[in-house]
Amino acid sequence: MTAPARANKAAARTGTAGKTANSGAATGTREDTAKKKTATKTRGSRTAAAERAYTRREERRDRAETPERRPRTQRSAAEQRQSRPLRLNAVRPKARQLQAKVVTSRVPMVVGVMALLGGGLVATLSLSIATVGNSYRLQESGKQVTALNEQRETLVREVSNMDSTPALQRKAAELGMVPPPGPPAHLLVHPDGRVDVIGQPQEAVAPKPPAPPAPPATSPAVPPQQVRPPEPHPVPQRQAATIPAVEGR
Amino acid sequence: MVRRGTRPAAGRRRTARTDVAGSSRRLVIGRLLLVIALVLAGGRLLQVQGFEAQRLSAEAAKQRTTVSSIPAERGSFTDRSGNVLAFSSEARQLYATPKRLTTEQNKEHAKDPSKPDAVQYKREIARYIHQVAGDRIPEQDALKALFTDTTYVKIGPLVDPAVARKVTEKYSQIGEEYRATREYPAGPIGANVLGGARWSEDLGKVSGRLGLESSLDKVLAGTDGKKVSDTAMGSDLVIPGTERQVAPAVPGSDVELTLDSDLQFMVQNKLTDYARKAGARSASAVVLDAHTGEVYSLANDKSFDPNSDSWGPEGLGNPAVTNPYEPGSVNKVITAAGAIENGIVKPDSVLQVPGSIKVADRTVGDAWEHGTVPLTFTGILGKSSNVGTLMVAQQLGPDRFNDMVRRFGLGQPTGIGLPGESGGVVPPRKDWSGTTFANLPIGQGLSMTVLQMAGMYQAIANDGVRVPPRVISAEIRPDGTRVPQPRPQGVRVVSPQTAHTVKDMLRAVVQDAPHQEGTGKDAALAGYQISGKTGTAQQINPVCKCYSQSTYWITFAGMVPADNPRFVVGLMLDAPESGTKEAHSAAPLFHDIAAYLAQRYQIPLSPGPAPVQTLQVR
Repeated sequence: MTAPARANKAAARTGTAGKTANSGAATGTREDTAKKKTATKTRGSRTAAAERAYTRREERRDRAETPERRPRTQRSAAEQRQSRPLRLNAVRPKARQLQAKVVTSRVPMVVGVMALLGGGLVATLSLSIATVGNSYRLQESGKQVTALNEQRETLVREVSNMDSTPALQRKAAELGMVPPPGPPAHLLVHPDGRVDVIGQPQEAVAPKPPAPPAPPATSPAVPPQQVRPPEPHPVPQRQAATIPAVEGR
Repeated sequence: MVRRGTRPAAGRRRTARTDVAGSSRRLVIGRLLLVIALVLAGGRLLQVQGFEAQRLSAEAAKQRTTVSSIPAERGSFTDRSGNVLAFSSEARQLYATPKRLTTEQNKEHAKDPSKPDAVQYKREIARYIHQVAGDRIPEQDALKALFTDTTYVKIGPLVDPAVARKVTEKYSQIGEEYRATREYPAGPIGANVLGGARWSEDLGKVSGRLGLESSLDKVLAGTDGKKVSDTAMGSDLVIPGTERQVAPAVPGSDVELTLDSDLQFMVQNKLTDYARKAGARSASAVVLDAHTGEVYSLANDKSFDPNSDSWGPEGLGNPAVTNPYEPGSVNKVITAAGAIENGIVKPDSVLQVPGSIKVADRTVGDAWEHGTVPLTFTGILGKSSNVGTLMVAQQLGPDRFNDMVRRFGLGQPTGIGLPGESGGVVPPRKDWSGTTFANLPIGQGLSMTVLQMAGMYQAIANDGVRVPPRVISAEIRPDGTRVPQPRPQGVRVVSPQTAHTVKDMLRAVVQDAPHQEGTGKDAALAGYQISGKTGTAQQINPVCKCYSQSTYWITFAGMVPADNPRFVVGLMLDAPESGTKEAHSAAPLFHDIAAYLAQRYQIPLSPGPAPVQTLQVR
């Protein structure tokens, strides 16, 4: 490390000399010349990297107007470094200073980060509000689902109970339907159109209406809405089984 | 690290700071203290987060989390057409803690006299419960419960969840408990097969107690799910949003039966009616599909309503599959099938049948007094001649007879799938004495269930192949897949030709021609040919340990229609009181059931009436 450091001094001197010689020339040309010089000098005591570093320092010195700005420009990208002198050459020196200040300041980054944080905060808030709102809706919907499920179950139960054979039999009896005393007869139609009666058809006889209309058999288990008003003429043809009591569940 | 890093810097600046902060010793001590505090905190952190983390988090979870089960819905039973025979639903049991209610409400009242005191409040609650629950909970019942001097009391019967919610939301002092319920829309119809299930406090769910509900409990029950929620310490108040499902509940499978609920209703009613008229101790009936052996109806005269709170004491069993009996003349079909199969006799072979026959040391006579009569083999069946049957059985021989008995499925359970099935009793061949073979061909000295009896006739109806009867058709999994129960292997009993011959011969039993009457002419159905066999078997008199002369089993087995059998019906009346028409024969009951079957299943009429067969040569 000590050897190149010592060599630096010589290189700096050479670099400055080279720079002054090429003052006012285009960057490209300067670079070319610098490279050429580097090529010639490297043979002496400097490495190629050190040579390039010195060249860059010279360039920076050319561009920089104020000495305190130098460390920041060092951190800038190489492209910026190359294009800036061309742009800045076109504007007045004061404006040029301001523009340079704006471009090189930390403000954009800070503002950007703040905006990002702010945006994130707003997004988080809005999402959390939406979540809470949705959870309330979910709760409401859940309640609705439960209620509807219960309603469905009640209806299914009612249908099953009313659809069962004993219930149908009872209902038919209530409507005054009477089973025939014997099996039904059949009509056998021959190909020639002759019709034979097979079996003996027997007429179903309606039972005598009972003198006092029996009170409707209401089970305490049946919910109130299921209790039917008493039939005008109940026809208890058969002792049909009652609808199963719900309390027996 | 920290100290080493700061030391050189501190050393260099010491002079400068000493002026401001005093002695360097103070600084060192301060730093030391801070470092010690940091190390202690770090150590504690390591202990809490590292070494004891698991134990502590487990302890915390134990304090906080409550594991509860999500009840699985119990599967339903349906009949062959999908009519629901049993299903589950949810209900709630309202309860109160009257003592606590009294103290708390009186306290409230003392604090703020505008609030009602306990008595007023209880009245208000009772009024509201009645208002919401309607007739299910009369106000008086609610009042009675609330004014009981106890710590816990149930209010009324089970109510719908919506009703319970309304009550508990308005009055937080009233609680509700989850209850699953089991409902049987058809009540006692098919209850002997289904059995019953009811709420079990111990298990916290509905469990099967009888019949298929019990034997298929595992299939029907499903698997309860698990739910974890965080609760405030010492209470069951769930912290909102902490409820999470660990395992979902898997509902139980539905079970589809081969029963036809309409037919079951009809058979059960007719059988009950008939048994009552006959004064029978009990009665059983079964209707099988002639070809598949599926049980369309399996009935007993006594049943129970599984919906009711108290079951029984009668009708809880299923004697149609659990109680064997001696079949009597119905068993003659074995001799007939064996004799025809082995070419010993033909249907029109004429046998000179004497009034009685002596087998070993036993003399067996016929049901009617006669001298030697020329009966055809068809006539022997049609008139149910014991003597004629034993004559043919002698020719068949005990070994071939025994073989036929086994092939007809006697002495072994059918495997129908109902709990407690009996296989009946057939004495082992090696234990047969001379009199055994005098009894077995005429249906005494062996026993069978009504299901086995119908099974024998199913073999005849199904071209000689006996298909063991089944009552469970399929299992419907929670995901909707239908898993049909495997169909049992058929057993070849006799050749198709023999089966046809025997079936045609059995038409003579219901024959009603002048001088050629069968024993079961009441079973005949206009428009259809019917085959069947009547039976009467003497019961054992427990006093003399001999066959009784007054108590009988009356049986009938037959098929409809005989020309193309669709159904086989087996009937049994246990000890009917003599004297009534119904006690004499079960043929009229067969007629009623066959008429209903023909109508319900729209069975085409037979091509013509059955030809008159000669039973007794004149």
